Amino acid sequence: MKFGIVTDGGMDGPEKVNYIEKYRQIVDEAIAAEQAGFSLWGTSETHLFAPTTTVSAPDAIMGAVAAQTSVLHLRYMTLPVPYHHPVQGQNASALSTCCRTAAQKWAPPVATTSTSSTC
Amino acid sequence: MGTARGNNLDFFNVLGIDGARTRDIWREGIQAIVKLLRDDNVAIENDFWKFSGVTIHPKMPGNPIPPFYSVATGLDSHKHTGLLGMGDMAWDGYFGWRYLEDCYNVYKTAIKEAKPVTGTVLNSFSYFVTAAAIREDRAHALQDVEQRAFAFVDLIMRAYGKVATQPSYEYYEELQVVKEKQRDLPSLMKHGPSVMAGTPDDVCAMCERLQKLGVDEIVLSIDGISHESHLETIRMMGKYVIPAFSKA
Repeated sequence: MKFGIVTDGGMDGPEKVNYIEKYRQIVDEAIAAEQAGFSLWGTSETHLFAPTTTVSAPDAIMGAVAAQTSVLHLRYMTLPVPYHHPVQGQNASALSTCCRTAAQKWAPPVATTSTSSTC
Repeated sequence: MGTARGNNLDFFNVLGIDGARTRDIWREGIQAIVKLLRDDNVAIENDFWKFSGVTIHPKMPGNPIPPFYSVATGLDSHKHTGLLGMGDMAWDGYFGWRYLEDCYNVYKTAIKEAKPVTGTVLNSFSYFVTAAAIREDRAHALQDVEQRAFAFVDLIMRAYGKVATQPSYEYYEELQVVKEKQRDLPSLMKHGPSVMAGTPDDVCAMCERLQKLGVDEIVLSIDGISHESHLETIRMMGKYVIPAFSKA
């Protein structure tokens, strides 16, 4: 069984930080997750839901995490499909894939597939 | 690639989206995305989009389609995810162990008959923990996670408050436990695995139960407490929990 982490930049806890500091913390926690042996890290796109969730552009944070980790698999944890035109939706997929595919660290399926795996 | 229909009515209003049609938009959107990732000069014509001659960039060598998952809450949603051959990302722990087991079984039954939207069946059930904290002493862990855990309970009760008053609802008894124990964290944690807090042994026991259920992947929402708390939970997972399951 695999273990992963999801973070959506929650800022409604007891700790008071600004957005810049929060996003730095998110990246630091992803680095720590890799060191701890987690297989997977991801974040989700949300809007108008602060302070419970504050990540509106996962691509940016995924790029930062991809640049500072090496074996952690990344997953765009939630792409709310109705929010996007399909051309933009595929951008999220393709760009996050690009972040990782160069180093072959694209989040793979965790269970058996009935046909061949795509990655 | 995790996907969802979206559930934010405020943002639907901003975008002018009909909240009643999000399942159709989601399904047709994924079909279009897969086609765009795979093919050149794509033409799409459905209820929501009409375009032709579109070749997207960037494209990876071989035009790979990433594994697609869907957030699923509710039995019908798990079934739908399975029938589309997508990985299931379940957030249903607050309703209790029986409900989660039913969600798992519905998904695993449906996926046997899947017509995969990506062309490949991804048979994977991920379970999402909404709040997590691990410490050497249980009281400290529960204290850390309490505020976030109760915030999620409140969210659940706002969403399902009306159903909680209808004894005919199949999971009425499960909802009554949540309603009556809204501020009793140990009882909520006994009821279902939505919150993972306690000592490493406590968390290992909960993970073992999820593993026996058949869960392929546990994803912890380590979020909304404090940076130091998050780092400590991550460190404790790495020291005690992950090694215990990597042996298996």
